[in-house]
Amino acid sequence: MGLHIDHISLASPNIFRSADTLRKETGLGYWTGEWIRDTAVHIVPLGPPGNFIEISGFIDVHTLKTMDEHKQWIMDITETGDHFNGLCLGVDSMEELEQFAKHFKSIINLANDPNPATHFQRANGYILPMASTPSYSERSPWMKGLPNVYFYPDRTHHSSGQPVHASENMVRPTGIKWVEYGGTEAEMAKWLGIPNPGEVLKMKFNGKSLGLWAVCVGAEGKEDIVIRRPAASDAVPVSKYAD
Amino acid sequence: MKIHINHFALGARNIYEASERLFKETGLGFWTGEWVQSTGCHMFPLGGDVFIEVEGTIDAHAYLKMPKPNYIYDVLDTDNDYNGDHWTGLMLGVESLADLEAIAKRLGGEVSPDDSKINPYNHFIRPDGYVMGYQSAPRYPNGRPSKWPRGLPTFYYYPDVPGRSSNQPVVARAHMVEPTGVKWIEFGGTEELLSEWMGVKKASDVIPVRFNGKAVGVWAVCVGIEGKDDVVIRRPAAASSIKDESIYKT
Repeated sequence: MGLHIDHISLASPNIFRSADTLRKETGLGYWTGEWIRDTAVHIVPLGPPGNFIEISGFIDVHTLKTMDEHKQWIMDITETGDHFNGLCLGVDSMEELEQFAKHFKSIINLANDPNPATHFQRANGYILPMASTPSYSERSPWMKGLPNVYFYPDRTHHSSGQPVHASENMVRPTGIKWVEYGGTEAEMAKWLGIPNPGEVLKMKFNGKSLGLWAVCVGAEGKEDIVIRRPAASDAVPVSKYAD
Repeated sequence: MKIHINHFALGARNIYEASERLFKETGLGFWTGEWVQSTGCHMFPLGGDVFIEVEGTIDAHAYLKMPKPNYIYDVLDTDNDYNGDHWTGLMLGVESLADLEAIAKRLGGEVSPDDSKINPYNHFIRPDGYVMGYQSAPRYPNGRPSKWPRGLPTFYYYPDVPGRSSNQPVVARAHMVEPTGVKWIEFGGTEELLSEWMGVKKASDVIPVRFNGKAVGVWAVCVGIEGKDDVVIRRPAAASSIKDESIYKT
């Protein structure tokens, strides 16, 4: 596939309520039970070739006792409701990921920590292997309204391919048709080091603050679904996190 | 009137972490996705229409708006060998609304409204859209009578037994055990207190309960396991971790 959209993060004050709302709004089903540390995700598969929305939020309020910049950002962007807070791109090999790490002048986060608490876990005991760049030791590009890049070695267990909770009037998603992003194509091209991100990643640019503003998903036998939520940068300007 | 154990509430700081740990401790499977307002639950069926709900606050903004001090938060913030887990409730069941109303009347409280059809977000909801209809008692809108300490069980009427949380499939995984039902529970306080609350001569003749004389509430649940030894799930009762209950309004 080369560089592609892998998944989209939708930050939520209450992932249970947000997933229920999104299901009623779109007919898209979701599955539950995945988590990492103080955060859980409800997963909304979007169809082939393997995309999903992760509705993410704190599920441990005791985590607020020890705040840091990233936690405060999550609290600030969810104070007024759901916001798209991350576009997660994917590549097909570690070699491709290494090229992006080099471009970002960063390193790869390797999923090689033996402590399961450092990984996404599921209710069936599965621990999700993945690698990404830029490094976690740096401020997340999401806070600046920019995507990061992942490599998932185990496609069989990719979150997009797990069964959702069956419900009435569910639609069958057929994949992402386009995403609407803030800023300009030139800004995205510079960040990713590729000349034509709009064409490669099916991105439209709206000139607003950086970040994802909408995703359009095909639905079998039905009209396309457009999911609109403000970008995180609408709640907290990316200038707050400028290097 | 027949009274039975319906379910247990096991409060947790992080229901995901607590459920994973409880699985590893016992082999009991669980299912995920149920919630009401700012509370999420992972459900552990125990056999015999009984279940544990591992429950916790899953909405940080809602928590910040709650009145303080917050009883459950302070209970769970108390460190112990179980990352703060405490038993936060014993829920008994009755088999008709008439029974529930009789209990509410005897204890001077109210029955919660049956408004699941018109007000679904006041009720437990599942990812498949199922809204759980049930009613409970006694509710005390103007405050619990001082005669009764915290930690005594609430009574429930669940009309939809097949839809009950005990009867939904768990997430399959390796090394799960098959629960065969609750064998006994260890409860704080005295048999006289619980018997009076339940309106029965002897509580231990009605439900399999033993008493340890400590703070009122559940302290342990013993579950039978098919082909294996029983498992005993021990956690402190919520009331045991609160020094001055009088500071809490809710």
